[in-house]
Amino acid sequence: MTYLLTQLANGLSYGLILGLIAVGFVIVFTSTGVLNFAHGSVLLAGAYLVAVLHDPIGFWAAAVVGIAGAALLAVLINAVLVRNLAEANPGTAAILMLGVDILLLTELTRRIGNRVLTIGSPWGADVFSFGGITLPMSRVIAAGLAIVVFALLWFLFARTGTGIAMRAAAADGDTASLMGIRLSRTGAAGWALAGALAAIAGIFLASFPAPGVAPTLAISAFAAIPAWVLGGFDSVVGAIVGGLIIGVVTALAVGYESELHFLGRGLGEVVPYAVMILVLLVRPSGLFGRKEAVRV
Amino acid sequence: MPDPLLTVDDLTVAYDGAVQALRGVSLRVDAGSVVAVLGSNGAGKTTLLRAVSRSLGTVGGAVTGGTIRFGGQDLARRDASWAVRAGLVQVPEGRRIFRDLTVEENLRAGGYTARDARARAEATDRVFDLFPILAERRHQRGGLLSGGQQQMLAMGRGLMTSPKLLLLDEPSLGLAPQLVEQIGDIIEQIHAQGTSVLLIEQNASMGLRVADRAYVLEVGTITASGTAAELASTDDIRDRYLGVGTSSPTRTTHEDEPVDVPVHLRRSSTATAQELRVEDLTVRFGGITALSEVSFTVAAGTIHALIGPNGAGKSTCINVLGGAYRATSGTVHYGDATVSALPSHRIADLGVARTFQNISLSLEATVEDNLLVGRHRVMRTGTAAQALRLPNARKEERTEREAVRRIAVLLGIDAVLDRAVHTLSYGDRKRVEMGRALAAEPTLLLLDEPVAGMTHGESVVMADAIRAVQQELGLSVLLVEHDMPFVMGLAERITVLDFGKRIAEGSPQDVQRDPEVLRAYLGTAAA
Amino acid sequence: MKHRTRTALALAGCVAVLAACSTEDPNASGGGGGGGGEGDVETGNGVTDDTITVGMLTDLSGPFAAGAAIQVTQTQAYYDQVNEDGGICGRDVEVQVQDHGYDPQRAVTLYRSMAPEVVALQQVLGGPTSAAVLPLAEADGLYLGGHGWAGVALQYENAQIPGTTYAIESANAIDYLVDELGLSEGAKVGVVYFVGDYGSDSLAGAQYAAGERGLEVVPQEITPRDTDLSAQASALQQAGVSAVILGAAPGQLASLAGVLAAQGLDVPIIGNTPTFGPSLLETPAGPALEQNFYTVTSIAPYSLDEPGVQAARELYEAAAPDGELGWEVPLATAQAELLSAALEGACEAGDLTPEGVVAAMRETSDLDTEGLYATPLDYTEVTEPPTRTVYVSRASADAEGGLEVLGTFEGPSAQSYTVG
Repeated sequence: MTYLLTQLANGLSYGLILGLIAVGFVIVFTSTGVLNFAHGSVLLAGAYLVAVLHDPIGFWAAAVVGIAGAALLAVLINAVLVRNLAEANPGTAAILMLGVDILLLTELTRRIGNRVLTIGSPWGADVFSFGGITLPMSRVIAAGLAIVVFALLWFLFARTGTGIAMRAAAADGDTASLMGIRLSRTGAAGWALAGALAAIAGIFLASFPAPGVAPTLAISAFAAIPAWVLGGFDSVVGAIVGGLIIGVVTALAVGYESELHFLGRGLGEVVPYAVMILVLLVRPSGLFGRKEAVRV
Repeated sequence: MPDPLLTVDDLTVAYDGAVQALRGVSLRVDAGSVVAVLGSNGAGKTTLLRAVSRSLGTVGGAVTGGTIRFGGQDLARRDASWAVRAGLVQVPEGRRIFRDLTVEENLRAGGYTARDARARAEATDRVFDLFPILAERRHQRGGLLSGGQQQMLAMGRGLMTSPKLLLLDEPSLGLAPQLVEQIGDIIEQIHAQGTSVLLIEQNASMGLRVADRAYVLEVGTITASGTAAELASTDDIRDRYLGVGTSSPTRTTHEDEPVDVPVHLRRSSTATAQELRVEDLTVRFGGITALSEVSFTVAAGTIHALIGPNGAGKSTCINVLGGAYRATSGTVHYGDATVSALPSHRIADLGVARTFQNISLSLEATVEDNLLVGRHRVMRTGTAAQALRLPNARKEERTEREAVRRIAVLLGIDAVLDRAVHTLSYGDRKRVEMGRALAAEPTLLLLDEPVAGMTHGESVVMADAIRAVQQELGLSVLLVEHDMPFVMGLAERITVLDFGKRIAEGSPQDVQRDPEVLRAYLGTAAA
Repeated sequence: MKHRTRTALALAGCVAVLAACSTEDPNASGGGGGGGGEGDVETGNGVTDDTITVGMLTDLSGPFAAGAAIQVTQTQAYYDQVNEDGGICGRDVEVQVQDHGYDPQRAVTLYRSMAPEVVALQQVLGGPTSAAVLPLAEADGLYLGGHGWAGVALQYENAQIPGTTYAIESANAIDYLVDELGLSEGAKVGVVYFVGDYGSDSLAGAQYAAGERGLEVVPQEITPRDTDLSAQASALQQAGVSAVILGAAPGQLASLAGVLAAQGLDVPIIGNTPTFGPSLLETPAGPALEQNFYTVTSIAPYSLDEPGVQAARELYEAAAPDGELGWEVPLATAQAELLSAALEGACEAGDLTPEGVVAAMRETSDLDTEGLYATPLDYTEVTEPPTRTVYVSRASADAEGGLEVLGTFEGPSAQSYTVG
């Protein structure tokens, strides 16, 4: 029982981090229609900044710089590359993002080298124990922070003019611009938000129990893609729920691998995609994908 | 004389650098006035509004000559966002509300540029005063509102910045006669509150009722202008836009001599129209009942109309017949087949074709290609043969292009066969969609608002075309429409829906006299 | 439209330039081996009257770029010194380096263009990449070294494995757990391994040895993408393991050691050669590693106090004063020494052709590396690893390169393990 609870807690906290990443995918997609395959390297860039800066300026200042830096990087990618594509079709933009990802990743790999850079967080390798369940402190903090971030996102999108403008622009950009909403602004805001969320996720993905900032961090962002897709591509709530599902299912598949032996080894790798495919078979537009509101 | 609020001087607009949409258009809107622009489809009305609201770029258009001045400022280098901040707001054609946002959030988006929270709250109150129904449904998603409410929301959204000039693009489009009157009243109220209005309207009687001045735009140029009263008394205007002229062709019935349109459509199969029986049809979405035990029968080879207020369940009915929605209970039979149990592609195989209220066409493809898609069901050679361009396939392609051309001639879109659909006006797109449905050689044609957005003259042509097709191909037609002269002139039988229930059925004459129908739908004006 | 194309082109250009930049010294040698030769030495591809060209297909832009760069630096430094000392067979040795980016497809393409210009391949780095190139090189009779330690390489006559195999490393690890760390019969040992040639070979050796020594293996398969091994660690704890063998990379080691320590599971962790990197000791997992981590390697760790390793260190520190330290330094030196020995042998036999180099390598029966390897190396049997002895080291922040050598070891199951 304790074992099950430990694995569940593990999965939920990991799932919330995946949710942070997946929400970034969603926001970029809805605000500019781009499948942002450079998201992983933006995440890595943010975490890298924290790793190199925490020594000279302290962890908290470094975290702020890292998050702001990733947001700025994302905005630049949008401003310099995506916006110049004008009305490009989504395929072109997605391939462009793959190219950006390769460029960024190569440069960051070169800078990081074969070192594993620590993030220098104050919670280090502390562990949180409660009723026999042990969970890395970083995960507990990540889960709490993710929930706060999601609440702030809800407030932004449901209560503030900027957030509502972003949703309006995502729903119908042409009409939104007739309301005086500048699509270049909402697009930039979307990219900035996605970059900041990625950097936050990156800090925790690079924290204990992971070793630190290494180039593979960029790839772990792709673990959020099944979460994004099964949530329904354009739904923030879907991305969060998708993240939680993928996180829990992965943790359980790995944790009970010996019992699930008949399915073969390395289940944790396959299970997110299996779940995603199952969901899409039942609900082709994902769990929370946009369905036209029914007019009667 | 006060400075005009808006002056358009010698304006020229081109699409994709080639298609001239406007040529030397000049007009003015004085402060505190309502100006209407009348014109048939493709005349450039929407283009004119987009030029003024600085939103041409998103549809590939550009001002190539002339000036637009608003409040003395030249708009040449200004964008849409600047225009809104300066008090110039456009309410787009087709309402275009944000369906997934609540009513309140839609209004909030409309007031985006009003940074002052107090001003925003006051504007919201004003909008709710003007449209009490919106206050009632403030927490509902926009997509769940009826067509009339959506139009109100779109107008309310435009008023959120308290603009000096409101540009309205076809506010009565697709609305029931009673609602059209109401929209007219609202425009007068908006005007009374001090906002000037530039109105584009296919419903010329409403347009001329509320306007001080009016312009007639035809094929990109202004052909007439004057006070609303002056124009309303012109014979030409009466004939083409008001439909109150002496020689109204809508009164022809199908027993009259065949219309003089060279159709020569031939079926490539021997399929014939069957009887369509709708029995106790009920459709529920979540807790909302859209249709409640509706029954009616469309006899084989007749034209049947479904009318009723916005939100009465007419589109839902068409959607069940076409297979897009599932019936909660009840059955639909077409001949021997049970339509309500089939997926939409199998329904198409039965010979049922439809058009949509919100047009669904491939925008980048040409008109001809869109029509050819419709032929897919009746083409014989396989995909491989087509890809290899075998002689058979080439011969068939020539035949198909010929068939498509005949349909285009019939619908009056043969001149635009090579144009991409996105360059066409709303009314022309409606025709293309109908052409695509006809191309499939249906035995039953479902038409969802076939003449929405068309002037009176155009709807007459459309009615003739539908009648000609129906006679030549012997098909059944079931149509949903708000244009009453069109419906009354064309339909042999009419079913009236209100709140998802059937409230009347009979011949056009019977229905027009039915007190229940007058109360729920037609209003006093039609009596 | 035009605009879009231009952006795409610009991007493509950038990528191309980047690829070019990270390829050091492209086509440095004109190559072109003549048939004739100096004296009575027969020559072939890659050998002229004054130069011998050897190739490196390595990963300068992919996941192993960092370690690969150390090896390139050290190999270059090694041959610079050889050339200073008069070269081999009266000729200078030139190293041609190409970047395959850990992409087997690219590795094959690069191999095809490189093969006619070199007499031997000093290195094809990476499991999947060397697996793709090995059969081709065998067909061409071309020497291939520096391909890692997967057991599958032992079926190729032309492959010179730089030490023992992963399977024998892991068999030694099991023996070491029983003989030196006191695991008793029936104890469970977790094996966390990468899917693929490397990890599977490691697992096979551990399973064989566990069978011999009466232990039970609890396998956990992972991929290089898994950097958070919490779930695996919990599962291992649940299974009640008394030790863990790790066939993975440094990222996985840090995570696993950290989580196990956090769970209070104080058991030894023994890693294969590629598991360790010195920077791990600066991560939060550092203390746990110093407490519990061992590694079994046939190549000497950086800090070993033996003449061969010392020479390698001096060479490296002169060539790259600020370079990263690690076991790649002795490894690159050893690999270059192995190839040099084969080239010398081929020269003496009067056959400095690709085939001659392979033949000379296969005649090497007792190569002393002055401590780079624990024992002399014997390459005469194709299917036999050249040695079965490993260095056992522990993580230590005080040692250069982060590893402190405990001694050499060769256990009974490592001796009896049959390859293939």
